[in-house]
Amino acid sequence: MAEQIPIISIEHLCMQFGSFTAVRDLTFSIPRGSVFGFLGANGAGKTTTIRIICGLLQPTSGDVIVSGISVRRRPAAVKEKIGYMSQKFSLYGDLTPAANLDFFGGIYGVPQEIINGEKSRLAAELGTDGFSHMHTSELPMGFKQRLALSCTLLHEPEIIILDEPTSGVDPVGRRAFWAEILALSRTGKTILVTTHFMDEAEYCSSIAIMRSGELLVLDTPAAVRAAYGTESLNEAFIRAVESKGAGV
Amino acid sequence: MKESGFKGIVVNEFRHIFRDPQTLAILFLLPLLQMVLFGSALSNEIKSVPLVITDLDNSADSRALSETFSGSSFFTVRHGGTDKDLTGLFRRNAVLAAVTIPAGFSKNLARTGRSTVDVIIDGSDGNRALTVNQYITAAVHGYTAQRFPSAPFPVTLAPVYLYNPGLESAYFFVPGLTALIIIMVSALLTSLTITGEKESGTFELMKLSPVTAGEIILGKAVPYLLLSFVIGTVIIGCSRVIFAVPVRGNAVLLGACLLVYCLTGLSFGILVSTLVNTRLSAMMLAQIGTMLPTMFLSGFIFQTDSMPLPLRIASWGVPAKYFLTIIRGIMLKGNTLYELRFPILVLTLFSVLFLGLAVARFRSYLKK
Repeated sequence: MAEQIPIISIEHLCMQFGSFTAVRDLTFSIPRGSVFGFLGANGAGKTTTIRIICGLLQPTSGDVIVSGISVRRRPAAVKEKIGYMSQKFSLYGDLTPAANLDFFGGIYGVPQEIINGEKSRLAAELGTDGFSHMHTSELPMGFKQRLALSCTLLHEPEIIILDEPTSGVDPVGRRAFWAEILALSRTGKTILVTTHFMDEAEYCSSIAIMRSGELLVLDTPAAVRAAYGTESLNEAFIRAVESKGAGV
Repeated sequence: MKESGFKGIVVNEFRHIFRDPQTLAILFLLPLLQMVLFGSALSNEIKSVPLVITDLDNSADSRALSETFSGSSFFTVRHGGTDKDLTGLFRRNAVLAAVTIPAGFSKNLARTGRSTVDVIIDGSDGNRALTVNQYITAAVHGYTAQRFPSAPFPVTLAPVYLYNPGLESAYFFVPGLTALIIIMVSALLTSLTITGEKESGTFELMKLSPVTAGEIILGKAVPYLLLSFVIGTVIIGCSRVIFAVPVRGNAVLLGACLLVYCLTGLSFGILVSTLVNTRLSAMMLAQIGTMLPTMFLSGFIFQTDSMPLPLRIASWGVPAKYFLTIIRGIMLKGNTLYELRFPILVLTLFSVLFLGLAVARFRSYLKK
């Protein structure tokens, strides 16, 4: 992964909430086309970093360059480059899947033909009746997730940010979801994913582990395992987070 | 064992009470504030009735009667001219009552010991009209009791209630209720929509998209403007059909004013939804924030003109006060756009203010 062009460059990023420092002088870059795993215990600063990358938070100092655009200067332009999906914030449960696609296509200014194309693709999968008459909240979990991903991808973002996308999904569903994510990455999309599942982190081309607002480790999963001398990434993660020093 | 459990609960509860000095302060200040506010607001008294006196008799008796009114602190007297002037004065709310002393007043009094005074009272607010009638009756009797101590009531008053001759209570309550219901409904509708999205998390997705604060606010406002306008039209239709309150002015003007008033209400609702995060608190804030001021400070039930200055100033900030002037004006008095330009302008300014504040508050969400 040495000589790739970065699509996201995080430059001396700091975020302060009152006297609490959530992110401390963070610098690293994410290469185009990679599947980048973002790990860390709760409160390590992952979510804050992602909110800054998405243009939702103005950093205290430093900057993030997303596809050549400064988040600090043009947060609205950055939003168009990014598709965001999370298990926490999802869809309009009281609307049909079709209406959800209309809405998310609409707020990103996606042409109606593309929205309609996506509708017929998904309708073929679920069956037309359910697609245009059922409320999204009544759909099975797996389909909701497929729909959420479709809504995220409608405006053809270069970067897809998945914030704990599979919490609450069973192992079979998670494997199917990851197959889709890896297929997306092969089409040239950059994937940034946060997760607490280490088997998912193994799918990533590189992983970063954060602790107390600082970057602890950044390498391939295999290199991280080797560095901590552990069999599993799970064990390596726990050692990294519990270690006293600055890391590897 | 049992006693220590009881003691533990008592101690714990006191800790909860004293943990938050702010809440404690509110607990003590709120009843005090309510006592003072409601105590001064809940009064039907009118400080000074704007009154026009026309003296067609021009005798010593009629002048003395006029002076009784001028000398009383209950009236602000102007001396009148023709009937045409009178109509204009009433329509502009410049006077609440007119007293006309007919020619021959003094002569009749001397010859027969009886006489009549013509009284016209603005009946668009029934409670107020009755109070004004009492004031005028008391003033006239005060005068005759001095002048003719032997004859108990030599002067008869012939009061005519303008706009509402029968003093139908519906004429008075229905426009006020309409103003109250419309602002409560329109504020509630919008306050729930954005907080609902905050609860479900879809609001977060909207923030992540490139839509601007203005687009979100206007996009939310338009459907609810139509909805609350339809509800408002139905309510006014009800007051016409069920309570037989007339619409003497222009119905199109009434519709346009209703639209502006709905906008004011839903703008307030949107502002509320930017301030709180749950539907429950939005509902409480929208309901209390519209109902209490409208009940007490809009002139719906209580006369704002006679309230202490701080409450009168507070009443200027109550949108329903202006809509009440408009709806009573159009339905009962047949007021025109020109006569109502001031309250319409104020309602428009309220909408702009609420929407502007909501957009500013949204921007701070989207940027921070």
